[in-house]
Amino acid sequence: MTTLRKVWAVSSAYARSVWAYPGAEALRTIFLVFLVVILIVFLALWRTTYSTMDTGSLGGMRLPQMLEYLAGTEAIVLSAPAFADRIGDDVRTGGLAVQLTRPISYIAFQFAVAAGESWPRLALNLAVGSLVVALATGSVPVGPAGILAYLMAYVPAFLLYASLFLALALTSFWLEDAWAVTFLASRSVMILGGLLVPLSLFPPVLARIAQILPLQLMVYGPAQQLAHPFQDFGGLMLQEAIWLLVLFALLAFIYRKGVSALHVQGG
Amino acid sequence: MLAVRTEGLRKVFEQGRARERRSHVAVAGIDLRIEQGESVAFIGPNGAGKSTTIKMLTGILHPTAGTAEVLELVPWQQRQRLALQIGTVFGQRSQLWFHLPAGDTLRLLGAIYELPPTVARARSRELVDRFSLGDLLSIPVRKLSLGQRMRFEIAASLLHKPQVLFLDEPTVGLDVIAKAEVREVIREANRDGATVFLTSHDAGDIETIAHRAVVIDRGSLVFDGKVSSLRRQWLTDKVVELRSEEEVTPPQMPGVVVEKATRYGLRLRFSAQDLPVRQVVAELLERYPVHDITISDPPLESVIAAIYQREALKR
Repeated sequence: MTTLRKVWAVSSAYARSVWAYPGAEALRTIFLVFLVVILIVFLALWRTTYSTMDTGSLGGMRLPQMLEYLAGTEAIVLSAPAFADRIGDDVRTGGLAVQLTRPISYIAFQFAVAAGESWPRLALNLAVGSLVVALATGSVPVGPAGILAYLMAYVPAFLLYASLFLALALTSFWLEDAWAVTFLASRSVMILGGLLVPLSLFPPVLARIAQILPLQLMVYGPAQQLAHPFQDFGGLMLQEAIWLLVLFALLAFIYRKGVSALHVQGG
Repeated sequence: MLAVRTEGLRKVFEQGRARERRSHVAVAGIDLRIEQGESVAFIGPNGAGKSTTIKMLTGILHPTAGTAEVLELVPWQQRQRLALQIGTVFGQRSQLWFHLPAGDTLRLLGAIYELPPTVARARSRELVDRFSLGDLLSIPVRKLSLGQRMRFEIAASLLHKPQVLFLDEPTVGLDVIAKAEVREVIREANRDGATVFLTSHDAGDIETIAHRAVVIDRGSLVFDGKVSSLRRQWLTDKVVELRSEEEVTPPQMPGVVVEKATRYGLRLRFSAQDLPVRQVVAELLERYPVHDITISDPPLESVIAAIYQREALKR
């Protein structure tokens, strides 16, 4: 309970900091412009695809649903926490020393920071994305059920994403710069997680590979709930729970190894 | 209950890759006992093992051998429990959140240190008043000057009324006024009962904050005693300043160095081990119509410089 209270305090402070820092707001604006541009480009692409194929539905989604799916995936990826820089800096500069002398678990602190930064951004990204889709298609493709299912699936998806990327960022203990590792992983999430194209439209072999990996649970899983609220929801949550256990264990293992080998610089 | 107790505390870092792996002994097995309420300066040249010791005592690093207890807790095994009872300031690293207004940082630390909101608010107000931080609360930390930030750092470290304060270069980079303020606040915390464990290269910090000095070099303790006796043990020199009623000619006295000579004044330095003070003073009184004379120990900077120099020569 005490830990949860601390996590809440850190998250809410960081959520405020997202808006307190003018530089971050400028960055947000750039991201939002980027999101709008992507949606407009894909609106044109999907419109052409739907009309060329002369079909009202692709992969079980109509055009507005497909665009809302895209808004959902982009919202997740563009609000994803950036652990590599922060943890790399902590390890390189010895700032980790300060973090470790606080009465809060380093991992819990990092999760709290990530949630505080990511969740308000996700809400903003999704709102802007949905607005663009509604204006472009003239319809509101998602209802309260879709939003609710998306958000419910997003929470474990966020924990999965955070666990994986925190574990990778913690390789800074040995590599001193985990940027390359996290860059590769983030690109894998984009490709195999269904950022631009839903898994239902993947070639069968690639779809099978993607289904085995947890990456699709981080993006495709929640985003497809926008189009098909609560469809296969129990199965999705079960998969997310199993992978959470696996990635938590991996994270705990790397953290323990890292801390025991820690040589905080600047001694 | 002792504030700090170490026995044979040792840390060896393994450096380099597997084939060329070398061992570097950062702390060579130190024994230390610090009573609660003491104010101890832990000093030594760069690379002596000061920060490594602090990191072991705060639970950041695991020792290679030996034991340590801070407030009867083993730091690296009970780090979070210990964290609630100690305060840390790493002068070159911030514990504040750069993007947050400074006031929010204090509120957040209150929650992290498990203070009830009313207690946290009252304590924050007290520290804000003490450090004159009221006008800065709404300014993001990154916009504060170094001096303002350090005042916040110290305030943040005192928020939960820690029993032991670990201060690693708390006045580094500060101007004279800010240094004096920070030192006064640390002394006040010490007077209120907090044990102070200070590392600093600044002799002013050591003289004004600490009563006891522990000198470490190449991982081993080379001195443990009162700050005042540090001078006597490490530098037996005395400085005599003399003002004469008539113009003076610098004296030619074996073993006495003329550091400064003006028309009516002299500053001389000699080793009290080689020349009795009595003899030097008697000779000066005989030579000059003395208007005023003072005998003092050299400044602590000279003592520290002498320690570092002597240890460097041994290598």
